[in-house]
Amino acid sequence: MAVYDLEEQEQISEIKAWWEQYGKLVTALAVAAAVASVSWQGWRWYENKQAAEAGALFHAVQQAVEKGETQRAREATGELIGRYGRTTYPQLAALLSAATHFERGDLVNARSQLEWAAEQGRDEVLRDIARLRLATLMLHEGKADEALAQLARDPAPALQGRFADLRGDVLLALGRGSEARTAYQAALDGFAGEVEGAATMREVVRIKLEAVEG
Amino acid sequence: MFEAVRSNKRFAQVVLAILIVPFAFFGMDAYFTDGPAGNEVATVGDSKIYAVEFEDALREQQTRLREAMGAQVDRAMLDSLELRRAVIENLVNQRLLALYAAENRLVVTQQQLAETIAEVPAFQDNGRFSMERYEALLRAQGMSPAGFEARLSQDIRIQQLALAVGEGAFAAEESARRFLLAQLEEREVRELAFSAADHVAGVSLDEGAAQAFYDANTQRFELPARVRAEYVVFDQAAVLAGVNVSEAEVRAFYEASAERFGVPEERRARHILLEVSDAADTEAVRAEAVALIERLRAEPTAFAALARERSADPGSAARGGDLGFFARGVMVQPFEEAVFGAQPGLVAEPVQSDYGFHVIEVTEIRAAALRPFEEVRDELAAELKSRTGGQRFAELAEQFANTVYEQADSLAPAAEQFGLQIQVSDWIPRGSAAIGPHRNEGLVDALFGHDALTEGRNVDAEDVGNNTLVAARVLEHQAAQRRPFEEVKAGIENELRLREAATRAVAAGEAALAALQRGESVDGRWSDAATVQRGAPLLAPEAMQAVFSASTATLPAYAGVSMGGEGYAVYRIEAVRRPELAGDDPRLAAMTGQYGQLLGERDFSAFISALRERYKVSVREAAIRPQQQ
Repeated sequence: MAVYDLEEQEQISEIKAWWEQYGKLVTALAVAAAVASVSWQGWRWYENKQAAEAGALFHAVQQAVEKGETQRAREATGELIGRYGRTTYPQLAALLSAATHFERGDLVNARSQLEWAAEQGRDEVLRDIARLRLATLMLHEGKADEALAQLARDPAPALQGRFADLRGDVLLALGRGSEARTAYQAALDGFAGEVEGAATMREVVRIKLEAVEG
Repeated sequence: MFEAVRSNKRFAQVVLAILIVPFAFFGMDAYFTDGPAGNEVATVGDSKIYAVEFEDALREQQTRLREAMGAQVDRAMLDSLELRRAVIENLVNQRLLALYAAENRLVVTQQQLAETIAEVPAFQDNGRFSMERYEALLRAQGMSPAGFEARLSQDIRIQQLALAVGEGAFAAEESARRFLLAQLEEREVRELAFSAADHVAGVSLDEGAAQAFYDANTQRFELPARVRAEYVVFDQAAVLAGVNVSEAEVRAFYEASAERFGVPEERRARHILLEVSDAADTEAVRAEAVALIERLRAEPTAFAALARERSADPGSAARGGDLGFFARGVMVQPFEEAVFGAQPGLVAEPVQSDYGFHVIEVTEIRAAALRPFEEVRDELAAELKSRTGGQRFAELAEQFANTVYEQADSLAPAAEQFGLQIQVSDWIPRGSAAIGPHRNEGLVDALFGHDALTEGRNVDAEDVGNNTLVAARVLEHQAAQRRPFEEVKAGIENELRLREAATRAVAAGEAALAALQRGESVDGRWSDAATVQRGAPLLAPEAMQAVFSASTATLPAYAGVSMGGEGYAVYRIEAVRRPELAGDDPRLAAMTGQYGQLLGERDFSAFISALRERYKVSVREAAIRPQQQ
C-alpha cells in the first residue's frame, strides 16, 4: 500500500473522529436491531410451530367428526382450547365439534363448546356465527327467552339476515307474531343483498312470513 | 480507504450489520413482491389476481359447461359478461379464503396431505396408492408433484374453513317445523276466471297503432346479417387422394417386408445325443460320436435303432431321434447352423452344443414359400399410401392453408391443387357457429369480418377437429335489416289486440274482486272446489302466492291475481286446514336436516361476505369484459 496523500489522511482522521463520537451509539443500535431481528424470527418460528401442532389437532377433530366419535372430538377440541388458544383453530374445532354433538343429541357439550367459541374465540365473525348457533341450540331446547337474549346484539353486517330470520322463529315460539313479522321482513332485506344462491333462503323466509297467523 | 476499513474492523462489522438487517427482518422476497404490473384483473387485500389466472379459470368453466350441456350450449352465454363475472367472483372468494387461512396460519400437516392424496381413486392401482400413477397423471396435466401438493394444501386449508363454518351448521327443530307446517297448509279454493280471449272481440285498434308499435320497437323486427359462403374441406381423405405410390415403391416395400408374406424354410432332422458328463471326457465322447458316424455311413438304416439305444435325449430317442420340422430360431445355435447349413443326409462331423455331441441327419427340407407380389400389391399400396399420407398431412395442411391465404381472391387454386370440391353453404346468420356440417365459431365470425365481407378475401383455413381444415369465402351477403312493416303488420295487430283484451280482463277481474270483498255477489261461473297445498304448487306461482298470502281471518276470503297476458283470476278461499305434526314425524327430521344444510350454505356465504369487508376487493370490470372483435 502506497503512502496516503494528504486528502486521504484527512478523510481517515475525520472518520476516526466521527467514530469516536458516535461509535458506541451505532454499535448499540446495531446490537438492538440484531436482538430485535433474532427475537422476531424466534417469535415467528414459535408461532409457526404452534400453528403446526394446532393444525394436527384440528385434523384429529376432523377425523373424529367423520367417524362420529364425539368423545374424541371433544377431547381434541378441549386440548386445542387449553393449549393453543392464541390460534384460530380452537374456535373452528369448537364449531365443528359442537355440530356433531348437536346431531347426536348431546346438547350439553354442544352448548359449552359454542359458548366458548362465542365468548372467547379469537375471530370476531366466527364469534358471531357461534352465537347464532348457540341461539339455534337454545331455541331447539325450548329456551326461546335465552335465545332471544343471544340474538339481541347486532352481528357483522353479513350475518344480519341470518340473525333476523332466527329472531323471527324465536319470537313466533314466544307467541309474538307481529314482532316476528318485522323480523322476517328484516331477514328478507338482509338476504336481498346477497347476490348468489340466497334465492332458496329468501323463499323459505317469505313463506314463513306469509304463514304467520293473526 | 480500504486500509481504513481493514484497520477498523468494528466499523466494517457495523456497516455489514446495517446491510444485513433488512434481510433478517423481511427476507429476500420483500424485494421481489411486485409482480408483472398492469395486467391484474382484481385486487384482493394486498394480493392480485392476474389475467392469466382469470383466463385459465374461465376456460375451465367453459369446458365444464360444454361438457355438461353438450351440443345445446349457448355460445353467447359461454362468452357472456355474466359468466365472466361469476368466474371472477369465484376466484375472488377463493383468494379471500386463502388470505384468511394464511393470516390465521391454518396449516396442512404432511400426514393429512399424504392421506388425502392416497385417497384419490385416480391415483390408485388395484385399490392402493401408486406413486407411478400419481406422477404419470400429474405429468399428463403438466404439473409437478410439488406444484400439485401446494395447490392441494390450499384446497385443504379452505376446506377446514368450509367444514367448521358451512357444514357445522344445524337447524333448530322449531324452525324446520314452522316451515314444514306452512308447506303442508291446505286451502280449499274456487276460481273465477276473467280470460283475455273473451275480450278480444270487443277490442278495436286505432288506425296507426300497429305502425307506432313497429316504429317504437325497431330491434324486435330486425333480421341479423347473413352470408352464403363457399368452402373447401381438407381432410385425411384429401391427402390420400394426393398421394401417389409407384409400382417400384410398392415392390420395394414388398421386398423389405418379405417376412410378412412368406412361410420360412423348415427342415426335419433326427439326432443322437451323446452327453459329456465330465469335461475331461470331451475328446473321448467326440471320438465316440465320430465312430457312430462312421458306422451310420456304412449302415444308414440303423439310425433309428441306434438313437433308441444310445441317445441321451429321452424325448426324441423314443421316436428314433426324430425332431420333426422346425424353422430357424428354435434350436440351439450350433445345432441350427449345422442343420440349415447341410445338404439332406448325414452331417459329416459331430456337432458340439451345451448338451454334448450331436450326431445329426437332415431328413427332409420344406423350402421357404412367399405369397406372390400380385396377390398383396393392392393391400400394400393402400398401406403405403396411408402411411405416407399420415406423414405428409401436417406438411400438406400447411401448404393448403398457405395457398388459401396467398391466393386470397378465390378458393379455386387450393381446390385444384388438392383435388377438392368447392361446396356452397346455406344462409348462415351472424352469431351461428357452423358452416355446413363443420363447427368452428372463429371461422364463421371471420366470414363477417372486414377482410371477408368488404375485401372479398378468403377466410383463413381453420381446424374443425378430426384432422380436418375448412377454408371459406363469402359468396353473398345480406346486411342486418328490418323486416318490412307489411310483413309483420298482422302479427303486431294481433298482439296489440290481445294486450288490450288482457288489460280489460284484468280491470273486470279487479272490479269483481273489490265487489266480492265488499260482500256483494258477482256474475260468472266459479270452478269446482279444489284443495291446494303450499308445498305442492298446483296453480301458477303467482296464483299460489295470491291464494296463500290472503288473510283468512274470516271465511270465505278472496284473492285475485293478474295472469300475465292471459287475464285475471279471482279465488274464493272456503276452508283452511292446518295439519298437526307429531314430534317423531319422519318428514320433520328430514326437513330439519335439509334446513340445516341450507343454513350452512348461508353461513359460509356470509363468512365470505364478511371477509370482503376485511380485505378490500376491487375488480377491474374493463379487464374481464369479452374482447370485442
